[in-house]
Parts: sequence; C-alpha cells; structure tokens
Amino acid sequence: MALALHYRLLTRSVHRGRLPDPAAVLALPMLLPLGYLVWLALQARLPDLALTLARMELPTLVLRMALLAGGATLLAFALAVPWAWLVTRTDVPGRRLFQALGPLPLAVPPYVGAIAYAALLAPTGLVHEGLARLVGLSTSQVLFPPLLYSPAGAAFVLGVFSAPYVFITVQSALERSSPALEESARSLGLSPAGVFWRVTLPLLRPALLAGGFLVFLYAWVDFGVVSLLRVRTFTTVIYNQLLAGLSLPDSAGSSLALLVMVGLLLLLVQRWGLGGARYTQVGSQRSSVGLGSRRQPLGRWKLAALAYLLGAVALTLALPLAVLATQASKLGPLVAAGFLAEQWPFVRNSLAVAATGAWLALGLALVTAWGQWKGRGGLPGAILQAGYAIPGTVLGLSLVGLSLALLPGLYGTAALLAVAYLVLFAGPAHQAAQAALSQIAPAMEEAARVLGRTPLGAAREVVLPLASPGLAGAWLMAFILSIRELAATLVLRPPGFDTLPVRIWVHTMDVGVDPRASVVALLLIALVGLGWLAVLLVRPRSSPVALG
Amino acid sequence: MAPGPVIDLRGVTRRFASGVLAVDRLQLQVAAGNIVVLLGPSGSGKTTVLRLIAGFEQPEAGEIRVAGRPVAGQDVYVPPERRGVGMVFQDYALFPHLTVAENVGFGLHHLNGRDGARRARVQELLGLVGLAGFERRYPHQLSGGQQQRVALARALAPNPAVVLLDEPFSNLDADLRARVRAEVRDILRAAGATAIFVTHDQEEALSLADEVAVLWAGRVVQLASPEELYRRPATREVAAFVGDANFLPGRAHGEAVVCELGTVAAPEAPEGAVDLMLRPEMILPIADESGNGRVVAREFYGHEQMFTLQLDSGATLRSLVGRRRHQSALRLGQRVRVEVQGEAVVFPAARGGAAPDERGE
Amino acid sequence: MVRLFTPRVWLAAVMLLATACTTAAPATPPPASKAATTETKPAEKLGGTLTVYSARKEDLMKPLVSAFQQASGVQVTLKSGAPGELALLIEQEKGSPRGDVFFTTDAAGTELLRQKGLLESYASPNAAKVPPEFKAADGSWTGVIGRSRNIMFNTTQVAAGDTPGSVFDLTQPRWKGKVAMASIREGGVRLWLASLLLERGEEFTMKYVDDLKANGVKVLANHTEVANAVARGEAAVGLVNHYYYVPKAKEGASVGLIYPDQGANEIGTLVTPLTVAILKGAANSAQARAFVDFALSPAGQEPLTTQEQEFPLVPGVALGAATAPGVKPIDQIKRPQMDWVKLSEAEKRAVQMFTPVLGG
Repeated sequence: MALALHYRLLTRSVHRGRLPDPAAVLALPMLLPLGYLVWLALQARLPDLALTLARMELPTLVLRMALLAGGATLLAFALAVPWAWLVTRTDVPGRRLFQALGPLPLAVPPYVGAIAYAALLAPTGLVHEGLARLVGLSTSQVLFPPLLYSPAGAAFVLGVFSAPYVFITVQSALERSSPALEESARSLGLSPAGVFWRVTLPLLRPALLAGGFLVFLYAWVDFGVVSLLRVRTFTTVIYNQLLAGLSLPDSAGSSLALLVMVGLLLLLVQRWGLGGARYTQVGSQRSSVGLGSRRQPLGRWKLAALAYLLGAVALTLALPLAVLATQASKLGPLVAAGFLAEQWPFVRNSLAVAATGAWLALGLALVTAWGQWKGRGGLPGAILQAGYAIPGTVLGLSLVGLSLALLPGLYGTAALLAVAYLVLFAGPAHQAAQAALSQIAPAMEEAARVLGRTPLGAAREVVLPLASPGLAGAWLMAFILSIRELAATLVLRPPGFDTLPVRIWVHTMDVGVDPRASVVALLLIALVGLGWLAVLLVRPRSSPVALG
Repeated sequence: MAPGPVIDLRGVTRRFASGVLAVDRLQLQVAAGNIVVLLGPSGSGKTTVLRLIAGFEQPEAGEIRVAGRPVAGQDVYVPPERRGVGMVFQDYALFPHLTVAENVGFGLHHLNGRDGARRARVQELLGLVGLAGFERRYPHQLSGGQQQRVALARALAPNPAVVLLDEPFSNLDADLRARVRAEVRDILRAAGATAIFVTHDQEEALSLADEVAVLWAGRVVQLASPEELYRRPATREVAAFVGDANFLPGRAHGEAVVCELGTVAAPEAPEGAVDLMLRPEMILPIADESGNGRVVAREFYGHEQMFTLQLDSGATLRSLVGRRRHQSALRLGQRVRVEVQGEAVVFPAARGGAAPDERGE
Repeated sequence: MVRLFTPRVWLAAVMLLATACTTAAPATPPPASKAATTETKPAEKLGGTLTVYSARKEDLMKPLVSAFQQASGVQVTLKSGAPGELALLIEQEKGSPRGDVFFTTDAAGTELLRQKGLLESYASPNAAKVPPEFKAADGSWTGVIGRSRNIMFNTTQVAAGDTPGSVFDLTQPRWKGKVAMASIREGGVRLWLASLLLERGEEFTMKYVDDLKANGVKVLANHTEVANAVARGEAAVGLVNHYYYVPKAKEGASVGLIYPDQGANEIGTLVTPLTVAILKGAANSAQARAFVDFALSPAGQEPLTTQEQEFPLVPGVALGAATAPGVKPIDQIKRPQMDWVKLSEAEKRAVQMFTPVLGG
C-alpha cells in the first residue's frame, strides 16, 4: 500500500518499438463517464453553473468538509495505529484474535453504522431512553442535544468505520519492516515512547499516508453517513441540487468541481508525502527472521493495552452490532426467520453483481498495477481513482445516459451494475493489487524470463502465484465495497433486482428505524464477514521466512 | 562451441528516460569458457550491460550477439526467454513458492513430459553444486550460501551460452564470501560455462576473473587479465579503483621520473610533467631521523602491515610491508626515509583534480 | 511440477464458482408478484407486465400492487426509490423508458416531468371527480390519496369548545408551553411552513415561528413523538399530519383532531397529494392505464390507505382505514390552492429560514 500512492506520473519510460501501454488503453474507457459528466456540465448554461457554485458557499463548505474528513482521519489513526502496533509488535493477550478483527469493521457499511449509532445516541435513541427511565422522565423529553447530528458526529461515525483502511496499511507495513530498526533505536538510548515517535511513526509515514488518504477521501465523498446525520457537505449539496433543480447538468458541474478538489488533494498528498526519502528496506527477505520471538513484552501495561483493544472493538464492531441485534430482536424470532428466508433472492443478487463487479475491477486493476509494477508509470492507475471520487448518484445517473447512448442493450440489466462497481472501485482494487505486486521483486519475473518463460508464462507461473494472497485481498476489497454500495445501485438496478443495501434502504425509507432494516444489515455484515474469514483462512499464518 | 566470441557487444548505447547515458558505445567480446568480470563503481553502467545482454533493456544503438546470433540491434529484438542466457540475480530471485528441485528444473521446460530426463538433470546440477538431498526444501529453509548455489544450479540447468551473475556475493557475510566465491568459480569451471560477473568489489574481480573489464561512465576503459590490470592500469581512475594507489607529481626524463622520493624507474614515461602511481607494496619506509617523512598511522594485519606516511611536502603515502621485513619497530611519529622498489606507472599530470576515490555503493 | 491445489487456488475456484452460479441465476421479480402467481387467471383479465417506479415506501405500495395483480392478472414489478432520484432517472431514460408508471409523494416533481414532456396524458374516467388542484389539466398526472396538516389535541386537557381554530392561535398566551411540534427534519413540517410562506409571506411567517418559540413550543424529534406527547398529555396540542392522529384515536387515547383555518377568510388546511402518472413512451401503456384506473377506483383506494391512513382524493370514496372520529373526507376540507412547483421551491426557502430555529 505504501507504494500505491507513488504515481510516477512523469517518469514513464517509453520503450522503443513497443505497443502503447495496454494499461492506458484499458483505463481509457474509465474516462467515458468522466467525459460524459464534462459534456453534461457543458449543457448547463455557464452563468447558471457559476451561480450554482457561488450558492454553495464554497469556503464554509470546504472548511467544514476538511474538519469532517480530517477529524475522521485522526480518529481512524487513533483507533487503528495502536491497534495495528499492539497486535504486530507486542505480546498483548488475544493478539491473533484482535489481528483478525482489525479489518472486520469494513464489513459494516458506514451508513449502517450511522443508523446503529443514531439508534443509540439520537434524541429518542436507546441511551436516551435508558437515561430517561433512570431519572424518571418522559422519553419525549430532550435530555441532551443531538450530538451525533453534527459534523463531529459524522466524523465520529466515518472515522470509526473506516479505521480498517488505516489498520490494514499500517499493519502490513509493520509486518514488513524489521523490528531491528526499532531495537537499534532503543540501543541508541531512546525510550520506548521515543522509539515510537521518532522511528516507528516516521517509518510508517507512507502507510499512514496511504491509509489516511483513503479515510480522508472516503469521508470527503461520503454521502450515506452525512445525509443520514444531516450534515451539509459537498455531496449532500450536489444531491440537493440534483433534486431541487431536477437537473443533472448542474450537479455534473459540481461533481466535477468535487473531483478536481480530490485530484488536487491526491497530488498534494503524494508531493508532500513521499518527498524523496526511501522507505523500503533492502534485504527484507531476511529481516523478518525470528520476528515471533522479538515481540515487545508489555509488562504492567498489558491490561491497559487489552482494555484499549477491547474499547476499539466495542466502538467499531460490538456496539453497532449489538444495537442492530437489539433492533432486529423487536421482530420476534418467528417473524425474523420468515423474513430472513424471503431475503434469499436479494442475497443472491448482491453476491452475483458484487462478485462480477469485483472480478471486473480486479481484472482491470491487475493490468494497470502490472504496468506500474513494470515501471510504466502510474497514470492509468491514477485515472482509475477518479471513479471513487464521483458521488454514486451522479455516477449512476450518468451511466444511465451513457449506456443508453452507447450500449442500449446493457441498460436495465444487472450487468450494468457490475460495470458501475468497476468504475467506482477499480481505484481501490488497483491500490490493493499494486501493493500486492510491489511486494514481489521484479527479479522474480526476470528470473522466469531468462529461464525461458514468455511474459504471460512468467506471470502465470511465478508472479500471480506469489501475489495471489494480496490479489485475493484486492478482490475482497472490491467485493466488499461493491456489495455494500447503495447510491449508484438504487439508480441503476433493473426493476425487481434489489440488493441487500437497497433492501436496507427500502426498510429505512421515510422516518423511523424498521427492525427489518437491522435484520438485513446484519445479514449483509455476516456475508461480508464470511468473505473476510475465507481470505483469512487461506492466508499463510506467518511469512514463509519465519517458518525456517 | 562456435568459433568467435560467445558474447559480442558492438557500439552498444543505452540512454535512460531521465537522459542519463548508462552505456556509451560499448565494445565487449567474451570468448567461450572465459569468466569475465565487469568491474566499476556504482553508476558506471555495469548492471545495465548485463541487462542488455539478458534482454531486459534494449540498446538505442549498436548490436548484441549471443553465440553468433544477433539478439539486439537495428530491427532485431529477441526476448529474454529466447536468448539462451542464464542469470543469477543479486538476491538470487529464487521462487519462494517452489521447492529447490522445482526451482532448478524451472528452466527445463523443454523436457516437459520427460520427467525422467528432467529429474536426472536436476540431480546432476544439485550434485554439481553440492546440494544433493535438498530437493524438497523450500528456499527459505536454506542458508544464504545454499540459496546462492541453488540460484547458480538453476541458471546452469538449461545449458545456457553464458551465465550472467549480478553482484552475486553482495548478500553474503564477509567470511562466507571468499569461500562461496571459490566454490562458484569451481562450479563454473566444472560446467565449462562462459560467465559474466558484475561487481564493484575489485578484490572479488581480481580473484575470480580470467579477464576484467573496467567500466567507467558507460564505457570499457580497460579489458585485461587481473595481473595486467593491477600492474599496468590504463588510466588514473582504473589505478585508483583497482587496488590501493599512491600518486605523486614528478618530471619524466628518459626512462626515469624525478619526484619527491628521488629518481624512480618508469620505462614508458612521456617527457615532462607526470603523475607517478606507486602501489603500497612498492613503498618501503626505513627508520631514519634525517628522512623526509614520518609515520602517521599503522594497521597491523598479522602477516603484513599498512603504514600511512606523511611526507614533509604534505603528501600522504600508503605503504604495505611484509612481516619478514622487520619493520615492526616503526613507531607512530617516527621519522622515516622512503625507498621505492620496482617500476612505477606514469600518467599525464592531473590538472588540479584528485583521483576519484569512490569505490563503494 | 507446480503444485496445483494450494489453498489459494481453492479460494480462487470458490470465488469463481460463486460468481458463476449466482450470475447464471435469472433475476427474480420481487416478492410482490407472489400473490399473482397463485391466482387462477380468468379469461377477461388483461395480463401482461407493468413496471412501477414508486417513491412511496414499499410496504405501503404492496397492498395496492397485490390487489391490482389479482384484479387484472398483470405482473407488476416495483422499483422503489427516492422521489427526486426517480424523476431524474425518468429524465435520463427519456426516449426509452424502462418504467411505465410513476407513483410519487412529490407532486412538484411530477409537474416538472410534465413540463419537460416526459409524461403521457391520460384522463382516467375515475379521475373526473378529483379536485382540479390535485391533477394536471392535460391529464398527465393525477392525485390519488392525500395527507392533511392538522392540530391534534388531548381531550382531557382541552375542552371541545376550547380548541384552537387556527394555527395562528397557538402563539396566544393560553397555549404557552402547551404546544408540541416536530423538527424541520420532518417533511410535513417543511411543507406546512412552505405553504405559510406562500400564503402569508416571509416576514409574517418568520414572526409567527419566532412567536411560537417565544410561547414555549416543544420541538420534538419527529411526528411520532409529537403524537405520543399529546396522547400522554405532555402537550395539550400538537401540530401533526392527520395520519399520526388516526392510530392514537383507534387505540382509544384521549385525543381529538382539528382542521385549522377553516373559516371564510382563513387560509384553510393544507392537503398534499400523492400522485400517479404514465410515462411517455411506456412499453405497457394498456396496463399502465389499467393501473391508474384501478388506483383511483374504490377497490384501489382501499389498499392504498390501509397502512398509513392517507385519505382518498376522489370525493365519495369511503375513508376506509383512515376512518376515525373527526377525520373528514376531501370534499369537506377547505384547502389553500397550491401551485406544487412553487410550494416545492418555498420548501427549500423554509429549510434555509427555519433550520436554525426548528432544527431540533
């Protein structure tokens, strides 16, 4: 992941007499939705567009969003960095369990998380009810202000549920970097805290940046959480514009403005973030020898560390799941069982489109990540990131127009949903695939080549088998993001083809939480959790080197 | 073997996208059965030469032939898998998901379907590198030296026209290095292989090579046997890079050069201002209170010792003295007279700039 | 020599297999269609298929859909969505619509679609009696059921003769601290404030809301809470839509319903319609017409009103499930005459103006 941000935009080496970079050719169609947005934006009369943008009170909006996304990122860091460090570098009890739990909150779609926390903390929520009962007041009395319904509340929910992005990148970076560096710092007289601040954190900078950037970006473009918690952000403004004027061109223009901001952000991050320093370690193959025996004993801090991890798990998993279960239990076991049985078609729909979308995304990501791995520049990969930054509703609507214009047969089929997931999530899939490939020394492929393998043969026999755990992770990432996607799915699904997130939405439409929404949400989380478990089971328990 | 060189590079030029000229009109011929070492400081283009031969880089100009067949040049590009070259990578690049036997047999795909022949060849190679019985191990279960030998066996298995070795010993511990070096050399000799090594370590180059090609800024500045290279370096840079060298200014006249140390024999010196190159073993300090220098440092190696001498002019000299010489009596700070033994190599006088002294990564 | 059956290979195989089986399965129609398949189909039934884009909560649509399927033999597929999204989707699908009928809670959105020429004009015989403000003059859309904006009161706290006759009475000192309303996050509150903006102007409405606040109005999280508070007597009166009153009345709570501002010079009680329309170029035009006819017929109005107790907009059709003491049929309510597009614009203005005061 660390290198995933390393877009070598300018250092593409064009080889004499070679065909154009296939990655660039493949990534090009991804520009179609973007191009369509530009075309749409041009349909809006320019003064209108200017007026629209002026009405958005950009400075306030950008400031609020920066605080929101920054807050979410900080919270994600606060939760995930110690979590990742404790499970990789210390002897905290239940290390393996907490390590396995780390990425799991990804299974909770943030909008479901928002529903759960709203049910808990809203003015009429569970905590409120409990408190009211305790002090003997009526439940309709407002006991505390609606804290969750604020930018801070949205930042809280987004930070909690996107913490896994940071956990995954930081944990894999910690696994790859040798404890020897930290030990040598200790020997140079630094305290454990000093080591953490002056050695571990700086070494983790690329991982922190990569993970933090994902959280920041996610919070920046999120729609579900902020609309549920009624926080005015760019995306909700776009959405309201969309509904107010019932005009796609205007919101296309605003979406592009949002996209440009994200693009600038991305450039800024890689400029600032990857400076000139090198972070990869030479000879890493041998540096992890005996890692297991070199965990830092926590001593009297053991209980505090355990409490911290339990707290983090409670915030990201236990609490929201308990709330959902409480809500779901209102249905009664019999009704719930019957209702669950009715969900089978939606489960199947979700699995089918998400799996297909994930395969498409992985396929494209493999091509672009391969090109980047071979040093052909990161431009195609960077293009893929654009999809992630387009609000789902706008993307969905523009895909309607686009497919009707280009491939009318595709519109109204579930296949278009898979295409939408490809456009939306090829970016994250590329990042994950690129991270997986960057672990493999280019010499591996070259060795296969001089031993008589064609490029394809070398890929099939050496590179792909070596990258397969990481690629499975990339697939899973695209799959998880796809199976929980709501905004574009709502627009694009063929009539009668609902997915689980659509069902959650159907049951939460209008006001009031329907226990059935909680049942469907739990079902969705269980599905994603099972997928994660599958990957966990096939992943080697430790690096092959440590076995020796 | 076909007559003529196995590897033939003519006027090969490779410029990177950044504009750096990595290889500049390079000429190199390697005869069958020879072990050639490409020696040069980092950035001299030696690894690029290897990658050009293997086919991982393409030259902008020039031609490359392997076993007489053009593999790169004007309108010719043979991909790596069809060049018939073997390669041992710096960190070995053993496939971690395959066993030792599968690694060694990886290049024997022409024997697919003939498992017996394939197994026999794998056994033969493992025997050659002394790893019989390690077939089922995985690379991570081997020591560094063993991994090195598996990599060599894997490269040799398909009987390549040439084996390319890219800094193959840099990942080994110093005490292991000399031993593995000798082993690898013996294995290559036993296999009758033609080999090109790349290294920045002059000691390694001198001990391994039949011929050493010294690379400087993308060109071969000298191709010679190790002895020749040491005794008669072609340039100041080569002299400084290969072995320790002392430089002193002087004036040549006839077959001799006059310098601070007196008159030194120098058979091929041009007339006029020159720089003398003296190897440390040519310089003999003798305790003498009226001498023109003094001892400023001493490194004791057991069988010999290295003195650093400072002349009154300010110049410093390194002097290597064998134990039998009884010079151990020389103390730090002691005044000495310096004698020169043997013939000096002479270069045109340097204009101001000191000789490059970079030799590490 | 390469080992074939590593766990990773198994995982890949399983992932592929999962994809293969699930994609091979055809898309199933939603459960809504189950009723129709069990019904034997008499010869005179219309048959065929129909796709309804519905912005109404799915649960509330299902009874109508099932009844229509049974009556007509038409296989109905529902695509539920938010009102605005569906309207935009219809616009994007211009020329090749995938839906036949648009059923929405937002009359303004429907009217905008009509102005863009995206609706098919169909004057259903059953729509003849629907009051003119609840349908398009050219027959492009028709209101089906309605919601009214009422005052609900606790009968033990407020005597029948003492009830407020107008929403503007609630700023009087005698109601100080006794009024409950919902936060502006509730659509009903927004539309009501918007109608005040249109009827009385910004200055008046702003002062009215300020006075309400000064009079100690309790702003609760949602209408359900308002209805609860009135039923429990925590508030003497509450501003709600009528269908929050109906279940409380049926439970036997001590509550009553007021249609405010019914006097000759008063603005009337706001009634908003849920509308149905046929999309231009609809593939199943006969089925779509049948659906509109059915939705406006007594047989169709009954299932539409069972769950949320909205009332029929066709005068003469029984109130059905909306029946409760005090609930009036449409022809007995004096209403402000609304331009739905203007009301929708005023709604946005209301959100801007009153979120700081009534955000709760």
